[in-house]
Amino acid sequence: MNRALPARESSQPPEGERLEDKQLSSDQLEDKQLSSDQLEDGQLSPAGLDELQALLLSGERERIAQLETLVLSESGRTAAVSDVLLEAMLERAGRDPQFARSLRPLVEDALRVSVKRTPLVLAEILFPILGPAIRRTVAHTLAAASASLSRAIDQTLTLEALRWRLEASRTGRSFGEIVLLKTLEYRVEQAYLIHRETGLVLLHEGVVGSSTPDAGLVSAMLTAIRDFAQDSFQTSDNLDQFQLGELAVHVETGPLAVVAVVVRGSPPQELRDRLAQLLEGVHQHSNDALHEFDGDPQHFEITRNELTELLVAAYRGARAPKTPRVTHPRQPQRVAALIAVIVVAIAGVLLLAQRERARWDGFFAALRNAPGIALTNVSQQNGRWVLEGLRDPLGVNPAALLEQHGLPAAQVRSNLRPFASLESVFVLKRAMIALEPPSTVRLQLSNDGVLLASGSASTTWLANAQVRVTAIAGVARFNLDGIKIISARP
Amino acid sequence: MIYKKVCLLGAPGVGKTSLIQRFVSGLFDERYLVTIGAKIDARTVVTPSGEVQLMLWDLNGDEMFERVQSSYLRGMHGYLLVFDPTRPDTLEFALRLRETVEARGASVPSVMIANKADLHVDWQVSAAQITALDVYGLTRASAKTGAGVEATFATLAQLMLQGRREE
Repeated sequence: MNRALPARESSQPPEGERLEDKQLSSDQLEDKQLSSDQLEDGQLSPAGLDELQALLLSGERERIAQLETLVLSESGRTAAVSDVLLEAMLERAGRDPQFARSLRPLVEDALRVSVKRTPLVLAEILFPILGPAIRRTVAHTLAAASASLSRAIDQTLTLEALRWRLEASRTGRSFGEIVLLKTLEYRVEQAYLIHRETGLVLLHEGVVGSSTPDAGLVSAMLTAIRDFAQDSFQTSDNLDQFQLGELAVHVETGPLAVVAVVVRGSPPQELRDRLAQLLEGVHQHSNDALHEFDGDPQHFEITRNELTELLVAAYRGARAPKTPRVTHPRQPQRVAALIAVIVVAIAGVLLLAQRERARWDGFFAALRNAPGIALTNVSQQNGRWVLEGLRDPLGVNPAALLEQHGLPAAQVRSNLRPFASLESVFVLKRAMIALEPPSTVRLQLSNDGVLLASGSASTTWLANAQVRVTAIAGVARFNLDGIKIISARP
Repeated sequence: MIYKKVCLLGAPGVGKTSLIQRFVSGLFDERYLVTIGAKIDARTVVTPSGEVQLMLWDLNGDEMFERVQSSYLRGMHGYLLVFDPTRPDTLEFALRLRETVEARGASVPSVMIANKADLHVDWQVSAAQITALDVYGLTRASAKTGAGVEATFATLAQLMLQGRREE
């Protein structure tokens, strides 16, 4: 039997695959009795040996052939693995969190290839998700823009707006940019990380000094309010913002967690982006903890710092973090001082102008009231006043009047034309000049134009006077009844 | 600190709000105030398994079946099923409610409370019926006198923490 051993060894299956040892029963051995011609001197002939091997090992050979087909052929291996692939994956995923992480690069590569080759397929799949997300983003952006626009309009006509305009022109920025910068006035007072399904608080942070209600209650009530809104309006959209006087609650919702902040004032859009980033991070690094959350928030302590960083504040007049050309902090006071100087200067100029105007008005009034002057028009030409009208040469000289009012004569051009005024004072003046009465004669003019002479005079003067009086405008008659004739001296 | 969401379920007027008020504030108000929507209170309970803060969701009884379908019960860790033994219909209501919750797949610890234990003489539910409810962990309590209230909430807290430990 020693010779048979190598043949038996050579028929063993390949390494790594074990066959059950097969024992031949005594009955089988009896059935396989060898005939005498297969024996040579009590030893097996080669033919007999072959037959014996065939008899003993036929079953094993068949099984080996089957196994070879299964193990060595590609189709066999594929069929075998496909039978158990799904069950194997599920089992492994259930007991090993690493499994999903190991699959990630494969899935990412597959997605990358898919997007590259057939982008339309993924676009169709993502459309229902992206549509609402884009709408929400657009709505947020519009709401923020609308809020800042309303604020800008509200403040356009205020002193503050004037100051901002000055700053805009000084720093070379647009007014809108300055308004936007100035309206970043808010304080995030409370921040909550909430487990979405249970409404239980995972983390809470609040600024010192702000009222800090029971975080668990706020978190639960916030969840109830949002649930109520969703149930009442039969919508899958989330209540992501509501206002309580000066306070606004901003909520960002993820599949497993929610982050909410209580803000005093008007926060920028950037805050909402930060909420979304925090939420994405939590979903990424604490996905399992969120799924398995049973009331113990200890795991989420790793997010506390991020939550604390949400508690930011921006005060009026504070520097914007990303504007290198910010002005000196004392600039507002300087601007105020400059405005004050300008205002005082303008007021002074206006006051002086008003006083000069008053002097001119006084001069014109005096000119109009002056006897012997009929002012018909006053106009300004090339910075000079032009007077038009009539003036009795015996009347007031405008130059003298200008001097009286302290006004420069150079600023006035007189186009007053001469005329003879019939006012009694002028008629009398002209009579005095024309008649040259002696000191003993007194002249008077009655209302009806009668020139009355009284006193004593020589006949010579009387004769001359009677001739001259006819040339005096405004004298209707000359009455010499009151004159006592005195004879000329010998 | 461990937090647990607990809902109080039951027909209108069985004393859900009063039980919470007694448990949280130690007070009882004779007036009946309808709960609109949901009201939430919190109290910390010390159990042999540790401290737990119960977030108590008091829901409007009138719309209870709608609420069961709604998101209010989502994620609850346990619930108290309250009925008023002086009004047998509230027991039926509670049992139907329990079935609905169970059918919804909310397999969480619960305790059934026969409230208004102080009005025991007026109970309209038979002793046999009461005994049959022991399978649901029935406790007797009175929001008015405070009897059994602490123990009921403590029992539920312990059940919820045990459930957590077994997980």
